[in-house]
Amino acid sequence: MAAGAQGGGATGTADQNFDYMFKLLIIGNSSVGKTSFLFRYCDDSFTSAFVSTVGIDFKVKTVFRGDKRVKLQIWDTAGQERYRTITTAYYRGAMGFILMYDITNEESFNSVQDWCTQIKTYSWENAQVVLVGNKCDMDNERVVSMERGRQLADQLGLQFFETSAKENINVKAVFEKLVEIICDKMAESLDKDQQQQPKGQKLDATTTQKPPQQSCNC
Amino acid sequence: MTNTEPPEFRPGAEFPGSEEIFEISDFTVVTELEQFVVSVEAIIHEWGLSGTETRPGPPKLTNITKWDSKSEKIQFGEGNHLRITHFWPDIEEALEALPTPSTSSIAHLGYHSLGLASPDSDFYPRNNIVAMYAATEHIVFSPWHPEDDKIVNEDQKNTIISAIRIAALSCDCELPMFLQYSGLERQLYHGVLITRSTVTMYEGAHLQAGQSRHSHLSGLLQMFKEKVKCPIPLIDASDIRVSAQIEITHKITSAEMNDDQLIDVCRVPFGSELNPIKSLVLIALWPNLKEEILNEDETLSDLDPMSAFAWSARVNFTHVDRFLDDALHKLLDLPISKFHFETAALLLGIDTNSPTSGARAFDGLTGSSRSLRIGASQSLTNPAGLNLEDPLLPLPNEIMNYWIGEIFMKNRSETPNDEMQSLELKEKHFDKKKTEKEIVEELKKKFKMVKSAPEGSVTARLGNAFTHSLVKANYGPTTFAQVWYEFVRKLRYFYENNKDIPGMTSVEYPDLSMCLLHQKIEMLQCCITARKKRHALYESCNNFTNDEFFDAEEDLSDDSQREEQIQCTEPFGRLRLLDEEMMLKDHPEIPIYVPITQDREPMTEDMIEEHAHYLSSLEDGQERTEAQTDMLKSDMQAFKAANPGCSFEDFLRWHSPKDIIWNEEERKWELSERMLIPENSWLNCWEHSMPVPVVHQKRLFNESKRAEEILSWLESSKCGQISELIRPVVFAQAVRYLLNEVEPVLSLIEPEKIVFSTIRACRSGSRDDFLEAAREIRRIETILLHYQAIFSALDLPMAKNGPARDVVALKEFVLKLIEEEKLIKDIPEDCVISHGVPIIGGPNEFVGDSMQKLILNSKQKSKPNVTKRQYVLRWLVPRPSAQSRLCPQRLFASLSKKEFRLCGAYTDDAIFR
Repeated sequence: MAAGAQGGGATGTADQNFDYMFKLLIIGNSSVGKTSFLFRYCDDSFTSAFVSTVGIDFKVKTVFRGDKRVKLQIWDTAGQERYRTITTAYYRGAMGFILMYDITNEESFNSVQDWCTQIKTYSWENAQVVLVGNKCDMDNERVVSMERGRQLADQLGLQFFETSAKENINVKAVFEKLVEIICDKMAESLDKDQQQQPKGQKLDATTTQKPPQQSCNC
Repeated sequence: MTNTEPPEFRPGAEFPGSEEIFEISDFTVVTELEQFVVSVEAIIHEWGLSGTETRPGPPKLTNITKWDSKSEKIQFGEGNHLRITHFWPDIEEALEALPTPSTSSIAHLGYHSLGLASPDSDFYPRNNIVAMYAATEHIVFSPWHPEDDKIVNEDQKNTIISAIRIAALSCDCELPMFLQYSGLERQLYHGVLITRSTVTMYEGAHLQAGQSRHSHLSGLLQMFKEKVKCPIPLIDASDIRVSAQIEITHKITSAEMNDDQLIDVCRVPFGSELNPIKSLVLIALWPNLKEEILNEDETLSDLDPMSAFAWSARVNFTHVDRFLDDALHKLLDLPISKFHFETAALLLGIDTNSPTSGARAFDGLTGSSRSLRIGASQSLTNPAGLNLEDPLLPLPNEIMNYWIGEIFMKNRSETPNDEMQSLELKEKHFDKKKTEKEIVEELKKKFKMVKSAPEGSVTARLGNAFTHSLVKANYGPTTFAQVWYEFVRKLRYFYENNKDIPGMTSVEYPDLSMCLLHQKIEMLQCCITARKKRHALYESCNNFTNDEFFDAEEDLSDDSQREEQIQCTEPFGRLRLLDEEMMLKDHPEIPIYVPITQDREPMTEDMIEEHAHYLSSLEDGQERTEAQTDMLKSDMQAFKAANPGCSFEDFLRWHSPKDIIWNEEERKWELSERMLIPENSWLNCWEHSMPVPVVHQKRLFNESKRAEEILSWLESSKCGQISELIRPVVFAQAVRYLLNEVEPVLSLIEPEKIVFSTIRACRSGSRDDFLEAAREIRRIETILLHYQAIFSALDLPMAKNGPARDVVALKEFVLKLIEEEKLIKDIPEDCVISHGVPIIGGPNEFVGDSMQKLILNSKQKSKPNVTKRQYVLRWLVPRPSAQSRLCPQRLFASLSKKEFRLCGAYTDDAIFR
């Protein structure tokens, strides 16, 4: 299902300078560093403190994958409980999720399972998820070992990275991996599509489906 | 004449690189006939059909179902073209060939001559020439152009046959060769077979009616004997063997369905008004008997089906309009119909601006309003009180009210009898059934991802009723508009009366995995819930605010004026304690309370898209934040009202606990770094928020405005739009219905196609995708309809009570009947032979018994309606003289009301004795 992959000519938006557009979402508990992570990736800047996100916000970055321009529209979400219902509304149509916790905060790690369930409930079938343990520069305050992070990721069937927005560790790698697995999934379902449904898929970002059984094992 | 170098002499044959080949003219070939003979020889050589000894004989007929062929164009004379075609059995592996004759008396006969003497080919259904002349492998000369090259007189026929004879003889080709005479549809062939020891002439006759003295077995036998002219005394000759087969046709009279106006909104309409079965045919067979065993003449007949040796049957279907297919296409045609731009109300001629039209919403629901309205409409100009404003609606009110009542019925069980049915199935198909059931279950599971409305929901039932209204043409072409109109009115009724929409009480926000129509209806329920909640809140606050009264009138204007700035020191709008231990920073004796908060507006997918679009149109992150502070502000106001004397830190302890940090050294709560950023939107917002309890706040979710939007959107939807909205619902309901029913015919269909095509159509919304899905649905609907029609014709109630083994047998039989019908339909040429599905055990077994009850014991007819009789007579006698060796003689005859057909194969010993 290539839904969400929008050809440059078919989008009708002002900026048509791309081959695909992927909508990504960064989710996770409050103050795990979602906004910093996004700013590091898009602006290559770091400030020790960003204003706590109200509702949702987004940034855009265009990357190259092979000879294709991929426009990433990355939505940053508020982590506070009160904003949960707002942010989940935007899960549908997202092709990838960065699920973030703070390695210095046990509680944020413990919530990963819940966030995963949220994805399962509100996103569509083929959404890809990467688990990210942020703030790995603060090793002296670490409470969640890398091993535990990796184990949980395996258990949930997710890709895993430890990152630091501050020291710019693995930030780019996370996005590259996410784009890669989305592209793989897209190619796979296109193949399947051609076998079963010769006409191919309408490219429509609003298309949604019931959550799948397989997308993550939580 | 005997030139065997073919290529140069093949007029009309394509030959690669032929321009390079030097053409040798053979001046011995002079006449058209000779040229034709040479061409035929050339082709026979090219196909490797000369010198038959090296070629294996054809396999047993029972193993053959398909024929392969190749053909060439061949010229005769100036302007006539024939098609020469070689047909041979298409078998995948070499099967056991017919054994070579062991009896010395027939040792001289080749394979094809032996075939004439064998009963295997009797009434062989898959190939006309095999059935008529027992020729398994053969060459046919047929007109190249069915009209222009038609052979129409005896002279032409005889000339070509003699040419074929010459060619066959000179090539040593021991294959039966036929010439198709007259039109293709007549299936009339003449031909010849020349072997080293015998010559067989194939003689056909095809008339509209035969002479009455030939219209029965004894007449045919008489004729056969006259023709064969057995040279030895009959007493010394072997017996004539006879096979006979009769067809008894049971015509199904198409009973019209009774016009039931009480629809079942639990399912989509299925079935057809007329019976899809045209007729059921029983074929009774008497194979390979001695002449004297079977008697039939003008007065007496042994051909009683009950005494037949074998039975088979077939079914003929006729095209009928199918409800579901009809409805789906009408639905898909709406956007391109003349109704496209009209709203439902307009189409029905309802004046929506009339003041009474609103009151109509209560018709039949509250008796009082109706009488009031009629009273009010009495006037001087219309003293009779005729209701001029009531347009003539396609469906009477009582019926429409019943339909609407069914749609909005509470606690409707989702799939009635589901459990019972499955139990029944388990019992019926105890063996092998499990996998088929699993296939269906798996498909049902896959289909759950369809973007539609949940099974059993109000929306799904609307879809069903809508489909029914499209089918029932007798209600008029606009009934669907009435269904839509009344449905939306009823929605308005629920909203205006603060009543929950049945089945939707627990909806908190629209399910974005469902179709837009369902989301909108859920959204309306959210509005109803929100309003009820708001009213409850007003009432609970009544004792505090004597100056504020709950106002039942809807206030659609912006209600910001409500937001009075009451500077109260009294706490207001507390929901609960945050935590026993959490005290206000500046008042350590007062605990922090969580305020009653407002919910943000739930959103349907189009609203989310609109909002996301709006956000992305804002250039600046600050602007985007500002655009979303409404809820934060509302929370802050409510918090301040509930906790007089509170500080920002207190608020954060409830709202964003990660942003407040306990400083151990200074023993106090401190703001996080990000909350200390000067001029940050949280702090700004806090400073500008007055203590206002939710009850006095501006509504975040203006449910009355939103509900009005949805309702008028639904009301003003044009028919084209209505069609697009309801399409996913109707198609999903159709597929769900079919998946429930499809299990018995699973072997004949590809059910995954309806699942995938419908899922795709519901997601893309494109009409083309829906048309594709409709095609797949129609395919399955037709087969299912046929299956059910046969089952009910064969008296299903009785079958249901029978033992499981019988039901399984019946089921398999019905499936084969459908398959056979399809197979025969695919064969373009007219079939000469009665074909059918064998009924194992004949009348003695369950299936045959059912057939017998239907066809032979039908009360309407005293005599079975025999529509066709066919015979094969076989005789092995010396011919032409008494000293000749034994030669097989065969006559096939087919007698029906429409035709009289004779196909004789008469063989002479070619060796003079």
